[in-house]
Parts: sequence; structure tokens; C-alpha cells
Amino acid sequence: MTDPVLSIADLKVTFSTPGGEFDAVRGISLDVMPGETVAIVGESGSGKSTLAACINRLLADNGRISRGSIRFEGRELSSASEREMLRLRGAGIGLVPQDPMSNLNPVHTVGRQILEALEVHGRGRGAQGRSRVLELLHMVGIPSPQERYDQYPHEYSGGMRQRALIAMSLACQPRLLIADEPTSALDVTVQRRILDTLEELTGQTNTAVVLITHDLALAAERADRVLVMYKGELVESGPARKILKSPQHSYTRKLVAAAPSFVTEPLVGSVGGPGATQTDAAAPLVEVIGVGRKYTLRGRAAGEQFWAARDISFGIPKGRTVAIVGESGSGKSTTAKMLLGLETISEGTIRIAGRELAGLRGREMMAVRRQIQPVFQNPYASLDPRYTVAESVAEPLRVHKVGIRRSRLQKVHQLLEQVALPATVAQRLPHELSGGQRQRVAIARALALEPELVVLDEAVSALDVLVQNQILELLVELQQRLGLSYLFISHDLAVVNMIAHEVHVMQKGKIVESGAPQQLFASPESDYTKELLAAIPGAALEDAA
Amino acid sequence: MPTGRVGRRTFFALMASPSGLIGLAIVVVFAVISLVAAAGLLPYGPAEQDAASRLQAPSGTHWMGTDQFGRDVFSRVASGIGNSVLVAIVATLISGTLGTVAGTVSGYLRGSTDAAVGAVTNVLFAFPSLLLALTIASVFDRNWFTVAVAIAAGFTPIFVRTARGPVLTLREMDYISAARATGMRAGSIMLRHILPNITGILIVQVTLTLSWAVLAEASLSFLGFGTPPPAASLGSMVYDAQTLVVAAPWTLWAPGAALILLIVGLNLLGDGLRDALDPNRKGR
Repeated sequence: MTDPVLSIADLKVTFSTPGGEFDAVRGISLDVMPGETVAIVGESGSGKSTLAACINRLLADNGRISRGSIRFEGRELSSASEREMLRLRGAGIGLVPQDPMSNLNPVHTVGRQILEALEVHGRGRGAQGRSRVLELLHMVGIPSPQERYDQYPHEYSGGMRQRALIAMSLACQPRLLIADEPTSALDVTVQRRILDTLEELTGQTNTAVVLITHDLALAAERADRVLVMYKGELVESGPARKILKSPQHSYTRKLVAAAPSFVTEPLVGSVGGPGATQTDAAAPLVEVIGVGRKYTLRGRAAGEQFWAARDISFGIPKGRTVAIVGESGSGKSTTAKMLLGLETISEGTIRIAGRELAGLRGREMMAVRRQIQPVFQNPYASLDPRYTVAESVAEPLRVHKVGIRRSRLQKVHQLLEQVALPATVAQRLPHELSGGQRQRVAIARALALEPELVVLDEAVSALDVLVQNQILELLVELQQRLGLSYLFISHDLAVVNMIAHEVHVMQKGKIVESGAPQQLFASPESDYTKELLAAIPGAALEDAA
Repeated sequence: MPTGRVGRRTFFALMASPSGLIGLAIVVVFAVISLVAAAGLLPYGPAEQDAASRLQAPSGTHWMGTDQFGRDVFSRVASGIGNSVLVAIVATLISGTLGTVAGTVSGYLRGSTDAAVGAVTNVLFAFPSLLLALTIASVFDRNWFTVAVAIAAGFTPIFVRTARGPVLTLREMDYISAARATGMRAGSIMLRHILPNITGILIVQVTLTLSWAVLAEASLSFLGFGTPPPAASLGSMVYDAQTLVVAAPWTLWAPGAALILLIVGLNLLGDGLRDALDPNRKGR
């Protein structure tokens, strides 16, 4: 048997914080063989990224390796000098970072930045370096590399930037590649293509890969072995298939159960099928008829018009969830914003409870706003950092002059109870809450005015699977109890499958397919829906079930 | 208000940095001196002449000596500090208020408002602030308020830019969208959500602007466009001392040292505040 490329033994990482010492990684051991792909799965805060940072010795200043060893090709890294590490980074150990937006320098061309990766390790410069970079760009699937070489990062799409970063990480042919959530910022179809490329390239060069991800399905699909981390410890490891089929540890079992996939039972009954027409004969709560939003472009294409959404028509019946699915740039959020009155409508009409949204002013508009409330994606941006939970939740009441201070506080406590938060959080500030708690607060705020429709714009996308599951259950429960309607905007078809009664698939500003989720996902008609479905890394889960 | 908690945290962070603490101490001392001068509690009147005791060296009766008219230098410096600080505070208040309002509104509303404010700001930026102050101060009747206005004109565009930048980011935040979806008016959103979130940055800018304003007032007085005589001003005292520096060096040292110390103090305090308010250094 060959020696492992990477061998970690009993590794412990300690952070010093003002609140005392804290162990982010507690006694982890693992081996990675040449050419092997090992996935490390865990929720945020499980220590998986800390582990990845350790291998490259790129820990934050207040963190240190307090015990154990990291061996790379037999060489001890935990005590290696900074100079030795400089030689290894890039050349021996490549890194594909998480965020393709912030990991490229905006003032240098992409080609120049990849060339730099070669130059620091003396692997080529000048004309020869350039031809190697072109070869790399071609290899990672960037079309017309000659032209792309001299472009700046902002001229690349998110997926292309991530490809450029992969090219950079593979430039010096490292023996080990660490990919820290390489695709979590990208759309599913892009994600699949990028991971395919990565798999192919590392397969060719027999490069070992450590894939860090929060997505169990993705890990199972892409890795030979899966390691599950929880609170700094390795709770389970083994071949991907085995972990999915017979998870041993209770945390893994929860993860497998919570991972949304098409095996998961939907939380709501569908309105589709033969009984589809049984919904209220009366007019639906919301009617969207031929709506569009156009922008006039600036810069190079100045004066040209661009439709972010066009010809959008759908209805939302009372007490139902209508989902809009699509990738970034598909126009789904624009549609949601028009419904919320945050974007002006360029054409078409939106009727809410029979009243036309356009042309409403003053008091009438306020009355409509009471009926529609939003919950947004990013739990860290959805609450004013300076407002306590009670102030945030009470804000809509204050704006609409509902009640007096004391009765509002009472209402806040009721609302917090409704979203299953203890009354004690009322006086806390957002930074004292977890992501899931913040999202519950955002839901409580949305419910304050007792709206009929809640617009959920990627409301669960930023949450860990377990938390995501809890929030989805809460949403379904609230819907049943309060008779709420939801407009559920998401890129995640598996989640939509769990919660929606009706789905509209959007691409490039248009609705390309509509129907009940079970029906739509079982027999998709449009190519785009098929592509979206194929891109979901849930196939492995389904096979295992 | 939740700001109370943030304020307390900032204060403790400031206490933890030695330079910020020194700056705070210096500023407090100068504030006390200004108040004492304003209350008329100085040993001598700042314009009180005494021909019998001209150009006396520092002693028990005249702590910082006397000038060519026999005026007590300490009393004049103290009163000069009071005048300078008053002009600096008023200038900072005017430029801070105007600039913050213009910057916040233009950043939040964007569009034509933003373009108009941006154009005015750029024109003001094109002139060196001292030149702008000189021009304004020489056109109008000279009293301490016009001096303050003249200085404020040069510093307003800085506040416009300081406020506008973070507002551009803040307006895209989801909690602003949520407030808009609730039906909150633009004015309330700016007042309740935007302004509180940029106060930290503004406080630092105010401290730094105060020190620049003190310097600007001194420069104007030195050139004869500042606080009109016989009222004491640190700048004009330095100017008057030029011819006396060999015979009575204290007439130069006292106002010069006071000026330097005040500016250093304000800068240290500004730096300390900036560090204390920087979320990346809060160690959370």
C-alpha cells in the first residue's frame, strides 16, 4: 500500500477569544491517499473550515495547533517554518477558496493572476508562462482563452471566476487540493459542471482532494470517503454509500434525514393531479398578469433595454404555497420585489385581493402592504444590527400605528411564541442570535401585521440543513394554523418539492414551465427543468434509499 | 435605545487603548480651560493692558509671562483656546449636519438628487479648503460666526462623502427592504435605520474635523482673516510673536504649544475612536 499524501493525527486546534479558550477541532485523525477524494461534511461551526485552514497553516491569528500532527508526504507541517510553508502552498497543496467574488484581485487581469501563481514557484514566466496559463484556462473549460486572458474578474461570471480559481490552484500541479465549499456560491447547474471539471482534472493528475462542504448529498456524490464533523469532532467516517445507507451516529442520522431530496416526503399535500381544479372557485388572493420589469442598460451597451422579467403570469390561491424556481439572474427575485412594491412594474398588472397594485397611493397602498410581508434570504442582513428583537418585530406595528407601546410588546411576545422563540430573546440584539433564530425573528416580523401573503425570498437558503428543516416545518405549521399564502422563491428544487403546492420554473426572465411539484419533477417537459433536476446532487441519496 | 449599549462598549474599547486615552485626557483639559475662559474666571482679562509690566518672563504672577502690551499670556492663550474651540465646534457642527444630511439623502435616494449633490460636492472639493475659507472670510463681515461658516464650507463635502459611502451599502440591506415593504417612508427609514448605523463613522469624522477646524481657524487668524482683534486667537498670537521671539520667546511658545497639543489630542482621540468603533478590532 502506498503512503498517504496527507496524514493528520489527533489534531487539536485552540482559539483564544475574549471569552476564554475554545477548541474548534478536537482530536481529529485522518489519512488521504494519492488520488483519493475525501469529503468533510458538517454544519457551520463544526470546525471543518478550521481543519482545512490548518493543513495550509492559514489559521486566524488567535488560533493555534495545540496538539497532534499534520504530515504532508511524510513531512511534519504543524511545526514547519513559514518559509517552508510558502514553498508548499500552491506547489504542493492547492486551495480552491469558497467565494469566487472576493478571491480574485479586481485590478489585475485573470491571466496575470494565474501567471503569478506560476511565477512564485518558478514554474514559468514570460511567453512560456503565458502559453501555460492559456493551456490551464482551456483545461478548466473557459472558452476562447486567448481573449479571456486579458480580461478582468468583473468581466467573468461567477462560475467562470471559480474556474479561473481552479486553474490557479492546479497551476503548479499540486499533489493535494483543498476545496473549501468550492461551489456553494454558485447555481446548481453551474455547480455540477464545475465539479465535473474538477473531478476530471484531478483524476488525470492523480491529485488527492479534500472537499469541504455542508452538503451531504454533494459529498456523497463526489467523494470516495465521507467524514462527518460535529462540534469539532469526527463523528463518523466511511465510504459515501455506507454513510448514507446506514448512518451510525445520531447526528449523521439527523443529517441524512434532513437533507432535502426527492426521497423526502413533501410537508404539504399537492394541489396538482386530477384534483387541481378543486381550489377556491373564487378569484385567487394574488393575480399576476403578464408582468414585466425592464431596465435601461448603462456603460458599454448604454441605451439598450433589458427585461429582468417578462410576461410573468400566475396566481396564488389563499392558503397555498406557490414557488418560483430558477437560477441567479432568472428574474425570480425581481418578480418577488414587484409583488412587494419594491420595484416598479414596467408592464402588466398585479392584483391583490382584487385591487390593482399599480396606481395605489397613500392609505390604500398602506392597506395593501399590510397584506403582503417579506422574509429575505440573508439572516445577517435582514435585521437592523442596532435594534433589539422586540424593536424589530414591533416595527411594522409602529409604522401602521397599531396599538400602544404596551400592547405592541404583548403582541411581540405572542409572535415570538408563534415562531417558537423564548420570550427572553426579545431584548437581545441580532448578533447574539444564531442564523436560524434570526430567520425566526424575521418571520415573526413578517407576521406582525397578520398578512395574508408572505413572500419568502430564498428564506431558508442560507441555513444549515437541520435548521432549514425546522424552519420549513414552522412555515407549514403557520400556514395551516393561520391560513397564510406563501410565494416561495428558491433555487433549491428539493426544498420546493417539500413545501410548494405549485411550482413555476423561471429562466432568463420567463416562466418556462409550471405545475404541481410532484408532477413537474417526475416528468419535466422543458429542457431547462430537466437540467436543473439533473444537477441536484441528490442522486446518490436516492439510490441509497 | 439600543445605541446605549454600543456606546458603552465603544467607551470601554477606547479606555483600553493608551493613545486614545491620552487624547481624551488632553481634550478634556482643553475643554475645561475653554469653559473657565468662557466663564471669565481667568487671572487677568485677555485684552487687559498693563504698560508697567511689558514683556515679563514667566513668573508666579504671570504664569506664561506678558506680551509687548503687558497682557497676561496665559489668560490670552486660555481665551484663545476658547475662541478657537468655539469656532471649530460651530464649523464642525455646520459642516457635519449639512454634509451628513446631503450625503445620506443622496446616497439613499440615488438618481437625480445624487447627481446634483455629487456635482456640488465635486466643485467644492476642487478648491483647497483653506483657500475657500479665505475667500469667504474676506468677503463677509469679520466675526467669529462668519469664520466658522467659511471653515465649514471647506469641510462639508468631506462629510457628504463620508456619509454617502456606507449609505450605499446600507440601502441594499434586507432590513431596509423589509421596512420599505412595511410601508415606512424614506424619511423615517433614513432617520431610524440608516443614520444610527453610520453614527460610528461620523463620530470619528467629527473628531478629526474638529482638529482640522482648529488648525484652519489658527491659519486664518495667522493670515489676519480669523477671529478679529483685540479678541485673543492662537493664530494671531503666533503672528504677533514673530517679531518678539528673540526678546520674549514665551510669547511664541505658549500659543504654539497649546495649538500643537490641542491638535495632537484631537487626532489621538479620533484614532482611538476609529479603532474602538472598528468591528474587526472588537474581538468578538
